[in-house]
Amino acid sequence: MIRFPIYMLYGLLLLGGTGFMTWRGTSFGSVTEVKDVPKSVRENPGVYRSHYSWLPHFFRGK
Amino acid sequence: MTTAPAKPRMRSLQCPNCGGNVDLHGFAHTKSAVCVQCCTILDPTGESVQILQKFDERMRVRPLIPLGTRGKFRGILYELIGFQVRTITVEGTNYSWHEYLLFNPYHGFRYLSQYDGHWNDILTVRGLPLFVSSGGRRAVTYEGRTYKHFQTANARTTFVMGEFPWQVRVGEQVEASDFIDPPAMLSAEKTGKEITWSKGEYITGAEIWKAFEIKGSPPPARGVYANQPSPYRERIASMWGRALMLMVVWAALLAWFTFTGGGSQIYQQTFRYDQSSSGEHSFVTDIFELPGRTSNVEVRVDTSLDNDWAYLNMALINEQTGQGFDFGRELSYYSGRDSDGAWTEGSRGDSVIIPRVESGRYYLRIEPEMEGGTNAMAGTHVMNYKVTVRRGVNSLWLFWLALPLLLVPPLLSSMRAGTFEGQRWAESDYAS
Repeated sequence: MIRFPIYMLYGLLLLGGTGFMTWRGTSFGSVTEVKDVPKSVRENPGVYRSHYSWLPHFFRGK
Repeated sequence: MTTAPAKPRMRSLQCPNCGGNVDLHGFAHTKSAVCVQCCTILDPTGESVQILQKFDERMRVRPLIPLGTRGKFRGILYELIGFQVRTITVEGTNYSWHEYLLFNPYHGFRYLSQYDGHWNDILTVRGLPLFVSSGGRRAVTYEGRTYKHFQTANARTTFVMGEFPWQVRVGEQVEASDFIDPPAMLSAEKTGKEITWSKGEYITGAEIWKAFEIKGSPPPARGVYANQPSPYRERIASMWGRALMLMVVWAALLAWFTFTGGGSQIYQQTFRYDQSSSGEHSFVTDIFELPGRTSNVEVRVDTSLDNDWAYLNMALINEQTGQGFDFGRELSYYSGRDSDGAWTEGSRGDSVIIPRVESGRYYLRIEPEMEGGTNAMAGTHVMNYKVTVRRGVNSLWLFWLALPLLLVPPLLSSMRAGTFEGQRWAESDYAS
């Protein structure tokens, strides 16, 4: 008889889920999925408006 | 012809105080008896019965097990012949417990004690426990076991009923010290220079009720008693054993994903950004094929930045379906020397993991930006940078997230066990 079957089930499900998500390449990075990017972007890259282009960027050292 | 041995006969006497009948069940062992009618303590050892002590009947305490109750306990037939209440006073508060005296003519005496629904089966110890030190505290060893000191207090007898193998008195005091190794407890009772040792073992009220066939249920146990066995102790060890097994599986999976998750390089190209050049700075790369099953894609950028910063707007776009993954990366690298010495800040490289990317033909749209924005007149910032695309790079952060989650159940059980022990020792001389 397995002792603590619920804990063992919990642990194996957790590890199984972790393994599957890693295998599938799950990540929570700041990436925005975009649908239907026009094919004209290849000819004219300037027409594409990035979701991040409006952010102010200024980084200074010490 | 042989004659059968004479059957021991119970002796009776008359209480000189109230005239009530007092039956003696302990034979020659009985050194004092208490009249159940008026609670007067009698000395039955002489030719005439002497009154040892009178007792205010209004102070009478009703035992949970009636005197005269018989039952087979631990395989021996016992009769309950005596009952006493003993009390200690700690910080002005009285704590009383009940002691029941069991007797069998061939096996002698045995005691049952009860406090707040917690019971102990007690026998007098024949050997002599040795005083030692355990973890900086007083302790005793007996029969190979170490018992930690729990409490020392003056215990006084506050009520008696039935008969006893010593001359009992209400008000008599002993210095009682308890030493525990759950479920066992050694108790030393010191009167003058004499120490009497007894060993108790924690038992449930249900076991006593069953042995003596008492109707109803025993009073429920409240709180945690000194030598009450922890319900968590074995459970904890076993649960941590299971946790260890799961951690081995975790480590094996982590190792497998580490060694197999380097990914394969799909695309690499070096570019140059010159802020002074006119025209559109955004551009697209050549098309590259992302093969295989749905998995992640790592886009890495390594630059030649030196005391400068850059921002790269990037998009990974499926040439066939128009699906895109839009992201940006900030890069800055500064270095110098000041009164604290040499310093560096930031990094020349960074990467982003794009999750669950289907196979297909893709290209990158890249839009670099440096100080002064996209205004070509703003300055003359120049940067060389290399873009690398890798397929199927295992991101292991989920495993590091899973590890504490894996340990939550045994940690919670350990905390519960700690709380149980805390409640136990809160009643001791070592309460914090």
